[in-house]
Order: sequence, then C-alpha cells, then structure tokens
Amino acid sequence: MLLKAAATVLTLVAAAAAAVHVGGHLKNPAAPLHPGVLGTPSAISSPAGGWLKLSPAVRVSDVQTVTSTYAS
Amino acid sequence: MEEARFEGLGSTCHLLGVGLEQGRLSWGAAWVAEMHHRFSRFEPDSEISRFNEKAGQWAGVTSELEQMLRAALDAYQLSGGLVHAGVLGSMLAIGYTRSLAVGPTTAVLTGAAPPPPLPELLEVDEGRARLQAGFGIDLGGIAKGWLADRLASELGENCLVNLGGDLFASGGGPDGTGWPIGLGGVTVLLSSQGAATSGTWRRAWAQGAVRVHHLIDPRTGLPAVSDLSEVSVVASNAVDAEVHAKAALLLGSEKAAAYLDVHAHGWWLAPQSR
Repeated sequence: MLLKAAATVLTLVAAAAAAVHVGGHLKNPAAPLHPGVLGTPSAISSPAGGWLKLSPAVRVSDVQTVTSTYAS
Repeated sequence: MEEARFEGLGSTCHLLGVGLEQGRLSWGAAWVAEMHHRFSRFEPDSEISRFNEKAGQWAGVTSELEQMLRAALDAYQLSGGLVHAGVLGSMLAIGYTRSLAVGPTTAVLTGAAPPPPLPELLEVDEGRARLQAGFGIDLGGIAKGWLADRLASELGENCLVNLGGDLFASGGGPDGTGWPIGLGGVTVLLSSQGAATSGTWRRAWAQGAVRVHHLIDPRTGLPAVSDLSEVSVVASNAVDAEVHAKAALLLGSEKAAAYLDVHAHGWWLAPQSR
C-alpha cells in the first residue's frame, strides 16, 4: 500500500514538474521556419565579407594562392 | 610548375600543371579556343548556334555537344529546375544578344517569360538531339564547368584548369597537399575537386533606370532578384560547383545555406550589401 502511494505521488510530482518546465520553454511563435545563414552554427564570417562554411573535405591554408574562383 | 594564362570563353583562363611540359599547356589553351568557337552562341556558325537554328527537328550532334546537353539536363534535375539552359529567349530579351565586349542591345523585357521545364524542351539521344521549336539553348556556365573538368582529365594527374572562375583541381598540387585556391577571402586546398562562383555584379549593365544582369531566374524569365551578390562553391567537380553556386544564388540567403550543406564541400555567400 505504501509502495503504491509513493509511486502515485512520484508520478504526480514528475507530471507537475514537466508541465512547469514545458510552460516555461514555449517555442517562440515569431521564430522563422527556416533559419537564415546567420543561424547556421558552423558558418563563419569571411574576411571578404559574407559567410563561409567548409566541410572536412576542404582545408584552409596560409599558402599563397595560385589562382581563384570568381564570377565571370 | 608550369602555367599558362590566356583569354578564352569570354574571360580569363589559367592552366597550371606539375610535371607537365609547357607544350601540353599550350595544347590546352588551343583546345579551349577551339571549344569557344564550337560552343559560343555568339558565333553564328558554332555548333550550338546551328543546333538552336534547327529547333523543332532532330539534329545530329557531336559527342561533346551531346555530353554538354546531357550535362544541362542533369543540372536542371540537380538544381530542382533552377539551372535551366533553355532561357536563351530571356537572354535575348534583356539585350544579351551579343558579346558584352561589343555591348548589349536594347532590352525588351516583355519578351522574357518563364520557359517550360527543360526535359520538355530538350531531348538527347545518342548522336542527336531535338529542341522544341521557338526555344534556344545557352550553355553558359555549364559549358565552362564541363570544359574545365574535361580538360583537367586530359592534361594529366596533377593539374589545375581555371576557365573564367570555373575550375577543377586534379592531384595534390605543387607540394602534394592540394592546390591552394582563393575562395571567399581565404585560401583553401583542393584535390580532385571543383569550384565555381556565380554572381550578379559581373556581366551587368543599365537599361535606363533598370539594372540588368545575365543571371536569369527560370521561375520568372527575368534577371534574378536575390539578396546574395555572389556565391562560391566547392564540389566534386567544376560543373556541379557551377550548378550549385547558381542555384544557391537564386535561392537567396534564407535557403542557400541549407541547400549547400547538402550539396557542397564548402561555400561562401556574399550579400548584396557587401
């Protein structure tokens, strides 16, 4: 009997705590559905302006460039 | 390391090779010049001009043109329809009727319209292709990327081919760690990878009070309106990099990052206000 009462109290306490936690962490309804570039955690500001992101397949170096990609 | 710089494909080209003879790079420059004459829409006797003239009927095509047309269809699929080689009508409507070295002609934007899906316009079979009557193909950046990939495969195991910013780096470069390439203000090392940049600030001009540029959005048939001025991409090869850079620019900054995270090895996005 005591065990049942303890389990019931524990369940009620957990449910109440969860309700309080969820109520205090509501999703911001004004947040955009698709995060913008600035929201991409691993994108960094580029020295040339804008945002840069490189996968492990592309390494950064301080060696002098031999050529560049550019719009033409 | 040997290198060669020359003008070709309406821009500056740069070939580099480790362990290659200068004569091999000279051959590469001559090959690019030949390809320019064969695939420039500004040359009336070029293969692409003659193919466009035969719109509405099956036309024989060379192996190179067949492969470029297939690459155009692949680009359309890969980009979800954003990279569309069938926007020649819009190109002509905005005044991009001849080389910009000569200058654009007067724009008639009322003649610009979204084209039907490319697979509905273009059929490619072995040694022949058919374009729907009333439409034309502009291979544009797809040709540059395809040619860079192709030339790199011909030149040797350790070379770099840069055709107007569309490039493919083959092998380990001068010191074996990769070819050092400028991208977005940093130096990146590329090995067996391609890179390309798409932008709206080059090949742009004013038509009265309206600023016009060559990058057509197939959803509108008009020059793209984007909050990005330039996008550089690293991918498996030059033609894929070209496709993804253009698609990302058309998508705009809100969606470009998510798109490129899936498709690219690396990217740089520059906003219009840069």
